[in-house]
Amino acid sequence: MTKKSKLITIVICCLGFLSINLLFVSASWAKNTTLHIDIYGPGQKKVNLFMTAPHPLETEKLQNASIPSSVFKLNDLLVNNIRYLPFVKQVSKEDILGEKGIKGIKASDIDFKRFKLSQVDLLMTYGWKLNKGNKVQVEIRIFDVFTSSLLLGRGYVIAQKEQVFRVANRFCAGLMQQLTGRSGFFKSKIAFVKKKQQKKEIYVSTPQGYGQKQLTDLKEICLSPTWSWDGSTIAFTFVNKDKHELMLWDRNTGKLEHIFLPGNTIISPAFKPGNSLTISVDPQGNPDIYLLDHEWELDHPIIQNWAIDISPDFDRSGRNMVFVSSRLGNPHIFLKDMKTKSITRISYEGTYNTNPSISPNARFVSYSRLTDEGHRIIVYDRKRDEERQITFGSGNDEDPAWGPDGYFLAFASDRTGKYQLYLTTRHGDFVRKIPTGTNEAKSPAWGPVKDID
Amino acid sequence: MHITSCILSLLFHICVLVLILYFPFQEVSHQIDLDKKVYQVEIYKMPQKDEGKDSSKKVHKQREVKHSQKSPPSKARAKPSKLPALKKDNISSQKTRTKQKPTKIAKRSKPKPQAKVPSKEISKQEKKNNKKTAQNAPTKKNIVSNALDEVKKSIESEENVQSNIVDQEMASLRRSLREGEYNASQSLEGDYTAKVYGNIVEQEIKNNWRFPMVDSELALRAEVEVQIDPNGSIIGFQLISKSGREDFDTSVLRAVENTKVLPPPPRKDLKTIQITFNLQDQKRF
Repeated sequence: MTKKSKLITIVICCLGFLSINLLFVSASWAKNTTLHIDIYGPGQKKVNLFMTAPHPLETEKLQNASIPSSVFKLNDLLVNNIRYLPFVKQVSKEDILGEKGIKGIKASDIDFKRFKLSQVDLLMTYGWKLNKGNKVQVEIRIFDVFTSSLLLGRGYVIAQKEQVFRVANRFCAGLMQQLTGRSGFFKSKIAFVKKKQQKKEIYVSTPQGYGQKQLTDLKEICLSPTWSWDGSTIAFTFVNKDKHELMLWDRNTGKLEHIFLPGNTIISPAFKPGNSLTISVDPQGNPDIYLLDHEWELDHPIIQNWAIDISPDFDRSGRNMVFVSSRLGNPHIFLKDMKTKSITRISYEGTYNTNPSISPNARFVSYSRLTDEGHRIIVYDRKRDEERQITFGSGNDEDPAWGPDGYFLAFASDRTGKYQLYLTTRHGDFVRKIPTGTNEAKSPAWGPVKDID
Repeated sequence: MHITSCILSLLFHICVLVLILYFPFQEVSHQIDLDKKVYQVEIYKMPQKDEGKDSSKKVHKQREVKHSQKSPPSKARAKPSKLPALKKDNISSQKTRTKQKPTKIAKRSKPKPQAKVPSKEISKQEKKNNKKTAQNAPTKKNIVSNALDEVKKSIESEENVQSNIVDQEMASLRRSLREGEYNASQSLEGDYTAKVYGNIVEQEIKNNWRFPMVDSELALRAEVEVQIDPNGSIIGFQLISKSGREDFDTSVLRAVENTKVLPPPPRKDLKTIQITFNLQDQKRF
């Protein structure tokens, strides 16, 4: 090899070496390891919502007019309604950075950045203006702060003060639908037994306690109300002096119908989907669960046993029925598959398990169990084959009833010394009293989702 | 970065091609150098001929002996007379012992051309005769036969050297493998660290994830890719798999954005985190 070729070789080798080094360096720079993580379930089950103050849409017209009371009333109702949603946390004004107010109620008027910095997820704006005839026009919007996009927007005209409650419920139903895909809470009613002058009557109200209405004035003892699946009828037991009767209340007419059945004990009626009625009666001296025919007469027994069988309740499909039976000596919860006729035991713990209620999707069964501290609400998850106590504290918690969404539960408790109605969820992470008045209230029965009236 | 890598890669390939073209000219001298080393080793091996009895010893042990003993080759020549009496096994092992020796001869006496011819042609009887005569007197015939014998042994030993080298290479490979295993376990340890880091990241982001859980049957799932810098700061993120529900996707992106900073990653090359957000909590009732 000549000197020249040697030199070329050396130079090429050097270059090659250099390039290899650089290649490895660049490769190491470019090297990027990826870590894979799975997160199951959100850490916070609540979204942060901030409600702005009512904002006048036409300030020039407002100069000589006072703000209508319905504007504030609606604001209060909205605040109160949202408090019933355990998955929404209302952010206070103090937690908002910068100015508390907004220039307008539309997205273009809002500086979302400061709300984002304040950890606000949802921003609710509420605008109002006066129309002719002192009608109040309101516009309520919910924005997703992260995307600065409109999630929900509704407009209402309030002609009468009574309509304020309906507007609040409708908007909150829309909000719940937007957030959870369900809106049953704000579109349903609860029937319950309320004490009145040592007697017990049937009442209905919304789950927030609004629009409470007395359905019966029988001046006797009314027990165990239950809704038909279409919401047209409420059935209950009427203890007429020394005899039990089945009573039906027609929602459309408001009339009551007496149904006379054989036996002395006629208790815990429950509608099957399709509005056929089941009830526990003792025509043979022992309470069994019977199906009634269309003329409200005993058809055939569904559960017939030497023991006491009471408190039937059906899921949405009508295939699963839970009930209480003392066939094992103590009252326990059982589930009957109406198709296969098989019976499964649900409760194993404790010696006194009663008041079963099955969720509309048949996944959960709630019931009350007598513990050392009193009666407590238990939720059994059929899918996981696990049960969990969801109420704690003093007194007794009884009569659980699933809401139409399978999320909320209403129950009666004497934790304050007197039986009152309360709301919780299947997780038990929220308890809120249903304001029904000072008198004792028990036996909540959640009605189906219906249009708000 | 990618352009730089491409250019460098191109340069590297060009260099490799050029080197391949030039390399054959350099290669010869390089091989010679390697041979020299082998010859040097086998010179030390020569004196161990007389330790033919210990032929069952392992190769690597023989190597150690080679280095320690530098006795003259005369004794080694006297002993091969016993070789025919050895068992086949011993012979084979003897081969392994003597493998370094003949190379010395090849270098010293330059008998390579001669050695190649007799190694295959000489019969066993001739070998025996040669060995026997070698014991008696250093006649010309004896010298030649001895030389031939040694050449033959040198060839055998050469083979043994090769096998020895292979064995050594295998041993070193095993060692390196063992080290590799260790390194692998070390990297596993690194993975454990990454796992712990992953748990911390999971908790940090989960704490900032807000979404209402109402429907027990709703199984939403979204995947987000997060880029972090060596300090753990989130420098970018994007949704790589949607759940089908916009509010859910927004909630997971919001969780990442609200987290802002994660603990510094345990490895410098850990720059990307892929997070799968599942609505249903496996542990939650």
